[in-house]
Amino acid sequence: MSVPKIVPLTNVGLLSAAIARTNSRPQGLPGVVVMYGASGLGKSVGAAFAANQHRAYYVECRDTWSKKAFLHAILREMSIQPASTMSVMVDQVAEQLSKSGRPLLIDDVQYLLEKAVANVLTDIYNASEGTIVLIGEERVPSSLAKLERLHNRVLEWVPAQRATLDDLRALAESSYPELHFADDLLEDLRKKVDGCLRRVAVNLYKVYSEARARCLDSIDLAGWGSDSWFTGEAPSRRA
Amino acid sequence: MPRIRADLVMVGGKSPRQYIWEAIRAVNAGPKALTTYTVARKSNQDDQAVRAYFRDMEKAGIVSKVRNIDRRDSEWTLLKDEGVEAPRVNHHGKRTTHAGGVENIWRALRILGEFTAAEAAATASVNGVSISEFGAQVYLSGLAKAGYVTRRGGTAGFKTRFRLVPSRYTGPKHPIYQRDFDQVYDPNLDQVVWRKADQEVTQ
Repeated sequence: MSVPKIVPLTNVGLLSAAIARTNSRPQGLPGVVVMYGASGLGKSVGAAFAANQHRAYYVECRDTWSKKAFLHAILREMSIQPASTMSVMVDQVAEQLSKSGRPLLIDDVQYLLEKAVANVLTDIYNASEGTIVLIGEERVPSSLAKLERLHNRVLEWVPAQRATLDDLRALAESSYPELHFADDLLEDLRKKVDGCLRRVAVNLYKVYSEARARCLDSIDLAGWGSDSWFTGEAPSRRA
Repeated sequence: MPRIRADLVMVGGKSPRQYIWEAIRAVNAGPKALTTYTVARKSNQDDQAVRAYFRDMEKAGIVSKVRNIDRRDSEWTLLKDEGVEAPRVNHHGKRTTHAGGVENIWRALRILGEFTAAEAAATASVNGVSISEFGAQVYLSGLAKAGYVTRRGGTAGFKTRFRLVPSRYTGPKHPIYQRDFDQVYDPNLDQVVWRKADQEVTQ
């Protein structure tokens, strides 16, 4: 289950502000933005908001992609008829990126960085000087460090933040406006799931269905009991 | 040997202005002068439409007039090449975001995979574009009819959740739900993918 909520969450603001800054950077500065963080922190939600805000081109990488598949995917997003050779395709992507001024968002970039496709990314950047946003998992910075040429073109690193209490409150309010969640409940949940938004959404739904069954319109930690959170761990065996 | 020029050509169905814009870029790259007449012939569009588009783009500062050749023909210079996508300007020279709401919904649907109409409207309403929850609901149920999304929920207390069928992501241009004919047109494929009339015939 994803967390398809565009409530003003920390990560949403971080990414879209970073892209806005990069778009208006002075000439001569590099234009790669990297957002990285563990799964479930709301990177994709941030990506969706930023993509709509800047009319960005969005590609989601797959492990199986070759250089050609990668270029085809980008050109498809731009709805451009792909040329027959890869070098011309790089030109096409670069031309469209630099002329249109729209950023390119590449999600799940960790699949590409360990492979030869990463050089295509560098080529595209060099030829276009456009804004390229890489979104990926925790190990992306260390993989990027091995790619000297791409690494020094990063203008901003945006580590995805773990959810704060404010985030939880905003999410709870927008998802279930009719139920009031007490702060101690939300704080306990935040600690138990370690700020992972996806798990927060699962648990809020659990609380909500329970509260509905009990006909409550507000719930706190005492009323809920802190041992029934879903943390993703399998239940321990009982004697 | 000179390198082959990578002319950018859009795939799928194109609007008349898209044809005109592609012709403008092609003529601009070639040796011929950029005139209303050459563009109209190259794009196979009406002279009047080409003239109107040039006039609108001149107001928007995308092209500027070099000279008048005769009463209906002028020579132009392209000031700002914006890539493959035709600039969308109205007759005041203002940028338009017509149907920006559904475009954003389609983009967000592909990134997030699943949402309710309320969430879709919230995601799509950024940067001067706005769409209501009702508008999103109408659009998404149109997509559901054509089989682009599946629907789940829709009972009391649980709003309908729409989920994109991944194999039906045909491309970046949003499918258009034409309510007055009750049909869905997909510009990526350039075809009408669903028609209510067809369903009635088979029944």
